[in-house]
Amino acid sequence: MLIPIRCFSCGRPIAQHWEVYKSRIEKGEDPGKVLDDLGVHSYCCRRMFIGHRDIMPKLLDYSI
Amino acid sequence: MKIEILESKGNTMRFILSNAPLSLANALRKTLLTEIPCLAIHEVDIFENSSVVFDEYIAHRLGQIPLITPKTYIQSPREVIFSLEAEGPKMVYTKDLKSSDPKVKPVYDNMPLIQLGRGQRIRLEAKAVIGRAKDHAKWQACIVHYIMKPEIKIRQSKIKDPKICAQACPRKILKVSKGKLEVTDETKCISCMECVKACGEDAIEVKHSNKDFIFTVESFGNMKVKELLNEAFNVLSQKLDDFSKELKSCGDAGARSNGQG
Ligand code: SF4
Ligand SMILES: [Zn+2]
Repeated sequence: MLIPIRCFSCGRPIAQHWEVYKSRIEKGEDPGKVLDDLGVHSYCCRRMFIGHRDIMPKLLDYSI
Repeated sequence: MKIEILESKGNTMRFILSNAPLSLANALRKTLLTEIPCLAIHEVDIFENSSVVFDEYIAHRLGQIPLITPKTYIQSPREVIFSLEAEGPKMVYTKDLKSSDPKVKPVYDNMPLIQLGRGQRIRLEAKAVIGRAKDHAKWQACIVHYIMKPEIKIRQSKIKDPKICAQACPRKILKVSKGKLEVTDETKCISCMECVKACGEDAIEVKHSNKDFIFTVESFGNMKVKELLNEAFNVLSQKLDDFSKELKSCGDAGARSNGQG
């Protein structure tokens, strides 16, 4: 689905970084470096990005 | 008790709380985490939703948005109404939320809330109220942790090669000057004990103070860190006042019943 607004573990808001993160890794940048640049330091928040799959666009095909 | 700010950068602040009991440090941490009043969306009226996700999913996402909380709202709790109206195809962001008070708005403008396909519509009204994080994590305003201040003791005579010791430190806070080992910044030490392993236990000793604490407070953007700290101390002293009042009335009741008995 969409990126969660906050990290599941620590509660920091993370969704504001998503678009930048997505566009940069689509250009072929290393996710770890991008997250360092964005200031996402703790590993609980980093796994939110690395483990996320954006399936919202796919869901849109099934709308009534 | 003294507070000395080590560094303050954006939403993060590091400070030393010195000459304070451990219980106070922990009380401050817990108050900052769970007792700071701040705004979050609590009730949502959904009038129209033809998107692919169900109402609860949207309400859950709305609730977690961090909102800027002005001081006046803490002093006298009030509600703020947010309204949202959008038609696809588009991505709905937090900036599309229209607030009834221009001073209260989402901390970040670019959080994706929901994606709408062609012809899909959403229309809703959300009510933000003051709450505390002990009831729900959406009201959490900051993240905070502390460590006991490390104290590094060096016995120069027992050190064979100061260079090896200095190189062992991953935080690079040990330095060799004029053949002597020196500590540059104790507050950066992470107590990993690599220096002790490299030089031997009799040469260097890393201990922890039990009355000085290094705090790191990271605000989520609802308030500035200084406001958070002020608020935390307000809440804490209010709680202590209430407690001592209760205790006094208990003591009176106890004395009375004893006298009667
Ligand atoms: S305990 Fe670790 S961080 Fe602290 S001085 Fe020793 S090597 Fe450095
Ligand atoms: Zn996290």
